[in-house]
Amino acid sequence: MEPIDLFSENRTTFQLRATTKQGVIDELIGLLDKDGVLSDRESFRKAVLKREEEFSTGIGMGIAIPHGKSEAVKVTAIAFGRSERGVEFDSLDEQPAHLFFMLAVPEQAGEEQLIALTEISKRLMHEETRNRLNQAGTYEELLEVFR
Amino acid sequence: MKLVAVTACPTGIAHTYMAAEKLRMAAEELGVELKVETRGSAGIADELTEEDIRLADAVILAVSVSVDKSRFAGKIVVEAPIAEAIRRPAVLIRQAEAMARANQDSAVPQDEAAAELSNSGRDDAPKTEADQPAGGGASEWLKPVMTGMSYVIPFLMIGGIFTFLHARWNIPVFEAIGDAAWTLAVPVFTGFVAYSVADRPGIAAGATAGLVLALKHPGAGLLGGLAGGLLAGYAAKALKAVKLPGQLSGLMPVFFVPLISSLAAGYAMLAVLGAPLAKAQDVISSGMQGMPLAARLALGMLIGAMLAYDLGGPVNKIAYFFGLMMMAGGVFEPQAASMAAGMVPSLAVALAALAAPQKYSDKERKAGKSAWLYGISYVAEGALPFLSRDPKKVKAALVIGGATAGGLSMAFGLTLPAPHGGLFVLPFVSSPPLFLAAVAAGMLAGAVTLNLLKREAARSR
Repeated sequence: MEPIDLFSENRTTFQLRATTKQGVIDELIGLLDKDGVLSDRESFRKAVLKREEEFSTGIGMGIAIPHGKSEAVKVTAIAFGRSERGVEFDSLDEQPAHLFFMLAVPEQAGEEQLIALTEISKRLMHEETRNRLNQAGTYEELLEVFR
Repeated sequence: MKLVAVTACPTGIAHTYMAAEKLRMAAEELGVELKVETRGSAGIADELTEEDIRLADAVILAVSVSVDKSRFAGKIVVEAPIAEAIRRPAVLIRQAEAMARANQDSAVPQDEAAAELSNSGRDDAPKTEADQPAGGGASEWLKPVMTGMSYVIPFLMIGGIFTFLHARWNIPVFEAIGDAAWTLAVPVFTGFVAYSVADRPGIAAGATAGLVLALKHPGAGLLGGLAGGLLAGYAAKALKAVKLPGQLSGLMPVFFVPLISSLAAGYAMLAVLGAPLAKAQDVISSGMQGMPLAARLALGMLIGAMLAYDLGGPVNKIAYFFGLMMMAGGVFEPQAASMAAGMVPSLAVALAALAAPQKYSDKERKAGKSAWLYGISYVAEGALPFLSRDPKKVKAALVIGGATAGGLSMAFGLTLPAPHGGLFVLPFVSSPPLFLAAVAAGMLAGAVTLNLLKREAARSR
């Protein structure tokens, strides 16, 4: 299991339409749902929002990683979205977020998948990764960043 | 320095690993050895062994869920919410380092620290749970000054030393470097005072207001810089809190905040506060020039007593700031007094422990040996292990020692154009022999007083 196996072209957009935090969350959940990752869209949404209440997943540096662990997730997956103009996400550094990784994790997730997720989290902390993500324009280029 | 850390968060999917990576990156940058245990949904990775914990100088807990702390009993623990570790990993590491250093060889009983550890709660700010020596924690209100000072000190060092060398040997490149650093000192100071108040958005407005001062009212110095930095910082902070509609919010940090806060602070410096602050600085400076001997002695004793009072605490910092402020304003006597007195605490305990070892514990005797080096490098914290063991007597003795050194230095009229450095800046003191005499007298006064106090205590017990 490689980190890039968690992505899918159907769950990737370089032009998020949403301009609010709620909007981005809904748009990314929409991608997950359309791609057949979720068995119960509403229940996953609740898990994500509940997690968001604990403290915002806008971790600063232009990144947000809204995530939920729920029975409603069939398989560990990531939806990726980018917003050119940025979206206020109650981030730690109070700056708008541009890169969004929504992580969907089943209640009984496989260890391999989880380790792949941690690898992505780690890489996002490096400036080089973020710069390359901001420059990526195609799904292939996105994968290249995490390869 | 060896640190260990644990990261954990509610879902254990992302933050745990991001915080761990941030801490590792920061540790590498700071040259600190750090092992991070991650407790997430993928299980426990890089688990800390008993050996790891035993050898660690301090523990960082970046956790937003409760974790078992019993295995860290007796250790110095810095605890912070996980978001802090992502946002400011270097700050946590520095804090852990500082706590570890301050408590090395200190006489905090292990079980006391452990007791404190087990009944501690949690709040938003990072906090330290080992025994804090009296006066060791810096007050919140002093934070901007201390942040500004820590950044401006190297500039004052460059400016002071190179200007001094130029004055002696007339070397143009030294003059150019010295002048540049002097000019930068106030903007850098204001910038970082504002940064401490308002985070990043404060820097631009603070530095700009500082340069307005440096160019238009150079006499206002660090005193003016403090006003300008606070003003810029609070203006930026207030503006940051204004919520604009989502589409415009991106403009806030790059457009509205810098323009409005620099206008407010810059205008205040140029037209309102700059002139009176320059005047105030001038009154203080010229007052010092014509001071009669008794007044100089008194001022020196006050500076010295304050420096030795709380070893790096707020009182010490205020006196130190005064010395720097006068130095940036071209008056070098208070800085010499501050340097002489600042060397005394560590030297005095070192001498006291050497002269009467039977009055001190093994740990104190060991700490006394390393205090010599702290003393000659102008680090007062070498006396902390003694202070935490017996605060009243040690404090009294150190204040007497500091006042002696500071008072003599001022009475001799010594000058020093360097903000730090202890014995290493001795060549730049106006009279090295007299300076050494002042330091030695302070050290002797402190050590003798301490040992006398210790004997009386032994009799009455």
